[in-house]
Amino acid sequence: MARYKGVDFYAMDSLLSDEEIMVRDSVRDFVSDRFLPLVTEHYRRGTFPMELVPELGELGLLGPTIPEYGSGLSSVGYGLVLQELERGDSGLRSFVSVQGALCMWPIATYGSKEQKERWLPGMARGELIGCFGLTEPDFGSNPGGMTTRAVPDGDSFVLNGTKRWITNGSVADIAVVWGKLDDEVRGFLVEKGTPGFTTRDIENKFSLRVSTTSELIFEDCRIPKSALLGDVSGLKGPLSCLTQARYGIAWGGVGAAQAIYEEALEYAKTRVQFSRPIAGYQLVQDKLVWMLNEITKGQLLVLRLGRLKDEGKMHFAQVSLAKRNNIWMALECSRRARDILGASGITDEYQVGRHMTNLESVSTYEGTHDIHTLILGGHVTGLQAFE
Amino acid sequence: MASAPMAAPRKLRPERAVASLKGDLDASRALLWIGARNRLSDSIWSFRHLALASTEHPYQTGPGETELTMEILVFVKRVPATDSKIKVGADGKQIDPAGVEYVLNPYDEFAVEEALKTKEKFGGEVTVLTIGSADAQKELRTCLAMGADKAILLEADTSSVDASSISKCLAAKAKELGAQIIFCGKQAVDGDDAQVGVRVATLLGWACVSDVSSLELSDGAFVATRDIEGGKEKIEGKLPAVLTCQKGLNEPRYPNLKGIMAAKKKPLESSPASLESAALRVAGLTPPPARPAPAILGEGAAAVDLLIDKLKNEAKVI
Repeated sequence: MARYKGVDFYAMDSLLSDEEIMVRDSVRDFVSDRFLPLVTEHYRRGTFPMELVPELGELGLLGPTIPEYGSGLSSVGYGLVLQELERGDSGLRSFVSVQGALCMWPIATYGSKEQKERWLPGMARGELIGCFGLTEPDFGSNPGGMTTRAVPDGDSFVLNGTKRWITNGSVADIAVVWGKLDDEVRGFLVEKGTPGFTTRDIENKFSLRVSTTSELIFEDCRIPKSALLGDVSGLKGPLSCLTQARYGIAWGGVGAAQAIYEEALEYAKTRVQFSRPIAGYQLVQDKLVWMLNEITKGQLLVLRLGRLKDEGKMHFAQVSLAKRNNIWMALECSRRARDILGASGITDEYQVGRHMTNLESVSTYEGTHDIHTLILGGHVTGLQAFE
Repeated sequence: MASAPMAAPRKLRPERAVASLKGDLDASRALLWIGARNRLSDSIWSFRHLALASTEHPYQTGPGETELTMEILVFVKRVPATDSKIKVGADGKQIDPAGVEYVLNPYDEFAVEEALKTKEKFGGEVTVLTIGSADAQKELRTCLAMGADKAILLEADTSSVDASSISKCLAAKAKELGAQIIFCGKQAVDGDDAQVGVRVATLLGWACVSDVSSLELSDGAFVATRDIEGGKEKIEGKLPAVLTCQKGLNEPRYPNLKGIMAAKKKPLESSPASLESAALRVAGLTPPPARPAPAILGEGAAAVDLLIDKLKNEAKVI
């Protein structure tokens, strides 16, 4: 099989540094050689290939932009990593996003020296896994309403509450949990095995099957006061993590869309109906061109966003625009591609169905499409549509 | 030719290395066959012992020393990717480079990996060396990102060279660098000559095993296994040696992010190659004939006779 080359209609490679291209190609080869041969079986069983986690660490993909613990990779380089991982599967990219952006990043940014030394080296190597507990059964788009509470008691906090839709919840060694202390949102590091902390996996998903999704339950869970993330309070804490993760998701959408487009293009060129390949028919060409057009725009969007991030000029509303656009774009590509593949598009012999159902989750998590619309609406009008 | 290593590896005592290399390079070594063939189940194993006239070898350690270090050299080549669509150029003697993607020769990836494993085991320094255009810096950077310590590009227009002139140039450089072991791919997938490794070993008077698919290195000696028709051949020998690497030898590592970021700070020396004029030249290239369109001969039992007839009389394969 020919080596996967991605889509580069606007010669984007010439805007990337040699290191960025090398990083992308290395992750691309890893996904082709190591991940894709496993994905269908894991998708069927609804499991994540845990055996690849040490390799993700060895490749340096876990927290590569974290100062001191990472490799000094540019934000564009990091984006390309996530693009290539999501070319494989949104579940693979989610694993890396949660580990790096949602767990290592807040520990590195808001944690104490002891917390950093305790967790970050092992997490970078993939020996320790993290999860991020913000969403609750009744509080998704409105995290400020969370009911998880921490109450001081001597040298400890006592944590009560439930978190839901938590990627890596049951496989994590450390949970970054957001809960209210004196009515203010604070972050806590809760170790696996702490009495009063249990997890339950959410089974039978249509989407993100190559990813563990869990519920975290805290029942009079006693944690030491040293478990508090000391340097942040309020919703700014979790929301700043989400900005990091959404940045990567916007890149991931480009990766999924490219995988889908390449598959549809190849299929259309070889599938013969009425004596010629269906790629020769106008309606099929319209779909392929729509995809190429939107992928190219999405690529330019995240490239510019990445350069702004490295210059320290990225605004969270710009991240909302990129996440909103690129995941919508990828989802629309998947629907058009599924259509081109006809009946073949509903079997797992082809990847489009897997990407399509995954992208339904990606469109919802980390700020739904509609919430990002309202973040942008509030930004441009100065009038907030929600509290 | 200067014989001092350009950069002495950290743990190596340079004086000793130089002295022993000179001894080895006298080309006064005898090749001795102690033939013993045993039939082991369905495999044929043959044992070849290469005895060197020089009993001393470059990384022989003194009493009480267990650390060995090596000056490890890897020959690499920038080649068209194997899935590239190759067209013959206008002169009919070279390929048309337009639209062709170039990569590190896949067999050289095994060589780089084995060199890195050798360094990890024994210490020392891995140098990657190529002859080619300035574009080959890309492939050298890939090797540095995998973990090689330094890279050397001998710049030359390689359109009018042959295996002899390339090998002489590489052998001279290997001598100059004080190399103690050389790894290279069993062949480059562009010319498929499979000559350079063997020729360099001959020029240096070193042992050489080609198509190595498994290797054990120990105190100055090696046991290399190569795949042969219907079995495996196991070869023992002493260093210095040139080992040409075959698929199966190892799993080449992916350049990791730290390696990639470190690669830009590692030395990549570039200088013009001094190449002898070639004795051979390519007179012409011919692309393989286009495959005829497949034909459906019929269905079921009725098609069998026709198929057999075609296989016998047209394809002439049965």
